[in-house]
Parts: sequence; C-alpha cells; structure tokens
Amino acid sequence: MSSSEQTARSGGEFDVEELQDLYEHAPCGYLSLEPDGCIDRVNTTFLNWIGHSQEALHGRRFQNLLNIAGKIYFETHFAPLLRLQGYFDEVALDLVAKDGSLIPVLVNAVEKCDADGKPVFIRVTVFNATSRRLYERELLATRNQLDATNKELRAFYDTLPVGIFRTDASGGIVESSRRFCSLFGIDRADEWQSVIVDDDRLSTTRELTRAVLDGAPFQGRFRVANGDALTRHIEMKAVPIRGTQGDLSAFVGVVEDVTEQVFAEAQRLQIDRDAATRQLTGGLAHNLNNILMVVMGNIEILEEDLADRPALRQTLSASLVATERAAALVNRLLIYSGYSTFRDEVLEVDQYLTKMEKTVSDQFGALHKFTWDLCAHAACVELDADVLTEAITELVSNAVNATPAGGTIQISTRWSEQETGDWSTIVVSVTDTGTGMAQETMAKAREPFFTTREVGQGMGLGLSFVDGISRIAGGELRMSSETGKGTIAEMHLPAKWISD
Amino acid sequence: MIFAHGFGCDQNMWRLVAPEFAKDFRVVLFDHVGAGKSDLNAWSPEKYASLNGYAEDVVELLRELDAGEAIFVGHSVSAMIGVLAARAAPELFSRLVLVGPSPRYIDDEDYAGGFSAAQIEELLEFLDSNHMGWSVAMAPVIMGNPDQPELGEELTNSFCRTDPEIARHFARTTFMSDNRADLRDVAIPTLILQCREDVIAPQAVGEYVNRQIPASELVILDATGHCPNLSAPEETTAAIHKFLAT
Repeated sequence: MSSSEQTARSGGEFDVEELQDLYEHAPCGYLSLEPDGCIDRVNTTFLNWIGHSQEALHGRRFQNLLNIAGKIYFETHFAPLLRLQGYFDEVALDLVAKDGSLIPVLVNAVEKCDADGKPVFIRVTVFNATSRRLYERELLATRNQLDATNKELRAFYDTLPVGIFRTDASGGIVESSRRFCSLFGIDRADEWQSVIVDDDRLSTTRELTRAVLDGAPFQGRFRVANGDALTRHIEMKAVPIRGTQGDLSAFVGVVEDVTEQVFAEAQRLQIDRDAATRQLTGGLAHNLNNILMVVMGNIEILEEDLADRPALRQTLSASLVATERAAALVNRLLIYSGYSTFRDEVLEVDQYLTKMEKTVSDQFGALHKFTWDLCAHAACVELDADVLTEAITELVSNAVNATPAGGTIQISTRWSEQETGDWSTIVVSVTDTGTGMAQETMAKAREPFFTTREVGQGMGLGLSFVDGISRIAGGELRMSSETGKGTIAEMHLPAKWISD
Repeated sequence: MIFAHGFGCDQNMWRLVAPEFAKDFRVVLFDHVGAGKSDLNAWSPEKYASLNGYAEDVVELLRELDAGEAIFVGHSVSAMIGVLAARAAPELFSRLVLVGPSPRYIDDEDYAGGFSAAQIEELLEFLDSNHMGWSVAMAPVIMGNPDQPELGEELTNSFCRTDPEIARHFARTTFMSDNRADLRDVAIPTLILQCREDVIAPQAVGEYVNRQIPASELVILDATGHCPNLSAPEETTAAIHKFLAT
C-alpha cells in the first residue's frame, strides 16, 4: 500500500481525484451493468484491453463481448447463477477485443438489489488471466497426455496373456486388468475366490492369509470352475510391496492359466509311469519265461522217462497244464511290455470277424445283443489270428462286465480316413453303453493286474494285453469313457494289403 | 402443471415462477437425467444422443404420475422436448408453454436459427478442448457460500453443476438438433414466450415456431436474455396466467 493511500485512510476521507484514478486505472477491469446486462460504464483499464471506446460499449450487453461459447454459457449458466445466488466468482471467459483477438479473463460479478429484492445494478470485475490460462492449458495437456499414457498402458496390460492385479495391505483386490476377470470368468475382480473349486478354496485362502500376515510372497495353484465352463487350473503369484516405513502397503501379482501345462505334466508322468511298469513287467516276465521253459523241458523228459509208471503220469500232466498256464500268462506280460512278438499273419479283418460272430454270441449272448458293424471291406492287418480272437474276446468280455443288466454291444470296423485323412489305418472298436469309467480308473485301466472286478473274477491282464498287441502291430489302443454313459475301446491298426 | 428446465442448469430455473401456480395446479418440477440431483448412473450417451431420449423420460414421468392431461412448461431446449413428448403421447398433454423455444439453432437456407454452423462447431470444439477451464470456473461455485455453508451447499450443488462430459454431450445434442418438422404435429393450444433480445433463440425463431404450430400464440416479453423465468418472473407468470385463462 502506498504512503499516500495510507495518508488518505488515516485522514478518514478519500480524495475524489484519487478515487477517480483508482477506479479508472485499477489493475482490473471494472464494469457497471444494468440489471438486464446492458453496459452502463466501464473503466479505462477495461477500455484499454478491449480497444473499444466508452461510447461504443454503452448500452451493449456484456455477453456480446464474449466469444460464441462464452455467450452461450453466459446465457445458460452464469446469468442464471447471478440471479439465483446474487454473485458469481472466478468464471473463466474469453473477451473478444475490437481487433478480434481473444483476451482470457476471470470474471467476478455481484448483483445489487434494493430493499424489495429487485436488482438495481450489477458490478463486474475482470482480471486478465492470460498466463493462468496458459498454465491451465499446460495442465490440461499434461493430464490428457497422462490419460493417453494410462490408456496405452492399460491396453498393453489387457493384451498380456496373464492377468495383473494389485491388492491393498489386507489382500483385497483394488485394481486388476481385464484379463484377470476373464481368466476367472467373473465380472468383478473381488469375486475371484468364489469360483475356486471347493477342494482348493480353503487351502488357497489359508496360504493367502498367511502371506498377508507375514508380508511374504504368495504362490499358489488352484482349480477354478465357473458354471458350465470347464475346470481350469490357475497359478497365482504375488509379491508384497512395502511403504517407505517398511510397512506392508500392497501386493502386486499375476495370474496365469496353467491348465495345458498341468495336463502336459500329468501326461508326461503317465508316460514315465507306463514305461517303468513295462520295463519291470518285461524284465520279470522274461526271466520267469526262461525258468518256465526249463521246467517244461524237464517235465517232457520226465514224461518219457516215467512212461511205465502210470500213477505218476497223471501228476506230471497236471504239472504240465499248470506250467503251460503260467507260460501263457507270462506271454501276455511279455506282449504288454513289448518283449514278445507273435507270428506274422495277414488277416482280412471283416472276413475274420464275421467268423467270430457265432462264437461271441455263444459265449456271451445270454443277456446281451451284439451288433456287428463291419465297414472296412477288404482291409487287412498284420496280426496272428489267435491273438486277434483273444483281443476281441477280452474287449467284449470287458463290455459285458460293464453292462451287468444286459444291453447292446457294438463291434465295428472302419477306415480312420475321417480322422487322419489317409487310408493307412483301420479301426476295430467295441462299444458298450455300460457303467463307464472315471478319469482315475481310465488312467490305470491298461496297467497289468489292474482290475475293477471282484477278486477271482479276472486278473487284470485283458486291456494290458490288447494295448500290447496293438503297439506290437504298429498301432495303439485308444479308449474313451464317461461314467454312466459307457466305454469305447478302439484298436487303431496299420492296414496291410494282401499284395504287400 | 409440469416445469422442465433447459440446457445449463436445473429445476431451480423455475423457483421464481412455479410457486405462483401452486395454488391452482399440482406443480411438478424435475431435473433432466444428467443435471441437478438426477441419478447420474441413469445417464447414457446413447439414449441422450437425441432429444427423444429426454422426451421419453417426460412421457414416462407423466405416466407414472397418472395425473391425466398436463400443462407442460418447457424452457429453452425443453420446449422442444415438450413438443416431442406431446407428439409421442398426445393423451398426456392439454397445453404447451414454450419459453424461448428453438427447433434448430443453426441457419439453414431461408431459415435463420441465429447461429452459423461454424459458430456451433466452435462452441462444441471449445467445450471439447477447454473443459478444464469450465471446471475451474465452476469450482468456487461448487464450494459454496462461505458465510452460509449449508445454503451454499444446497443451492450451488444442485445448480449449474454438470459433469463436463455430460455437459459437452448435452450441448451437442441440443445445438445440433433439428426438430422443425415436428412442430406441425402439435395439435394442442400452445403459448410461445419470446424475449426481445435473446442470443440463443432470436425473435425470428419464435415467429417461425408460431407459424408452424397451428394453435399457437406468440407473446413477446419486454425482458431481454434467454431466461425470462429468472430475469422477469412477474411478466412471465402473468403471460402464462393469461394464456391459461383463455
């Protein structure tokens, strides 16, 4: 405050001239308006900014000095606001100067009313806001840039094959990428625990709680089942984030669908296990077989030597029968483990199976009906006839056992050209509509001595035998089964032509 | 008797007029979706991309009130919203009062709407690029009156406060609208209130509306500006009373 102003105030009176000067040259524009917005008088500061003369402005409405957006907003927002509130403050507007240039300003206005509340006049102060507007524009540009960067980052997160999330210190999700929700099949990220299968939920929650309490990294795998969707295996990894004071402030982490990985691991385990079983079985069977050969040879020698002692011969032939049974059994184990081969014989499958129809009906036909659907006309496989008979008998026997109440069992042949596109493989299948097998049973079904039948009802070598001969013949045994629906067993065998 | 506010503010626009009719009528005031104290979650850019979205709301509101035939008083863009609503459900309306109506703001051949296409484009561009300026402008308003914080809160929070995104969208819907063809279908007695100097809806537009609506009457108010309901409430009220007495 200047010393002259202080002098004036201490005197209690303003000098009129000084007041005049304060009005005209104040560091802000000053306007007096009629209640309808028409300009009555403006100060010199404002005139200098706008470039018009006092006379040119007199009677014009204030809003006519604004750019088009300002005019519309003044009419629709600020004029009503002034009427309702009696004032408005810091309204950002652009004045249009006489030369057409824009002057960014901040405007304050007060409405003065008489005793009855009728508006008498309006006072308006106008502040130049050029620098401030530039600053606002910088802020806006920065914010827009930040928005764009955020959007980009977000889009990047959403394209990642893993879901990303952040939690608060107590482990509740506060932010997540879109992939997070889609992996769980949920709408809201905080619902993720509700779709974990019951068996895994408790342990996951427990481990998560422990990680939160200890402020330790979390890693867990669990299964997720959502409605009718297939069960997926999800892996979650999260690390704790600490604040400057070392206190736990958040977890950030990723979730990933590891279903394929889990299946591949299970399959690899199964293959390893199969190989180990086969090796053990093969080694054992091979040595047993050698011993049995010696025993059988000796029995034959004894038979000749004891020709004159009929009482002992009966015991001897019983021993021979038992030994032969043991040899047959061992042979099956050899076939399963791939240690044995059989006589090469080219069989025309359909023709051979037709011959089997009666035998099968006679053997199993009490409660069951058999349909023979043979569609691989003239196709041949390289397989011993007895071996094929045995394989079909085993598969039919399994099918009959799976349908204890009776039913229809289908034996069929076809070219697999539908699946593989070539004519090199023929499929012999036996289908039942019986009890079917659960996944765990299926996984073990072809292991030797695995059986679901009661003790004494079977040794559990049927499927291991069929599996073995299929492999020896250059093909494979494929099985599919569904609990309560039935089982399909298919021998996929390479086709041979008689001329081959 | 239902009062509808226009672009910019909310039902407070009627606070000096609506009470004058409360003696003779059941008076209904409301905020359009997106304005005032309306539920912002109900707002969607798709529904409110045309004035029909707002007109549907008016029809729904009147059906819900089940008040028989209503006198609809619409200010600014709501005048046209009333025309659309009356067209969609004529059985709900007995009379229309249109305050500063404009069926189209942009000039078109012989039609003078008051704005050139470039000017409206400038407005919309300005709103698109400069909303921060507006939100800064509104900030002290939202903070309220420091002497009477409750009053300030009550008054300013419900008045002229619009989400910048919604305001931009409403501005686009309003200023790009063209409902000239709908005027002819208005078959009920209609009063057009027109201010002398209105930047937003010039006198020529009021006269155009008068020519297009068969049973309409045009009254030129002595008031200036776009909001006679605030700047000249007595004159506005008197004109409506006179119209309702005929």
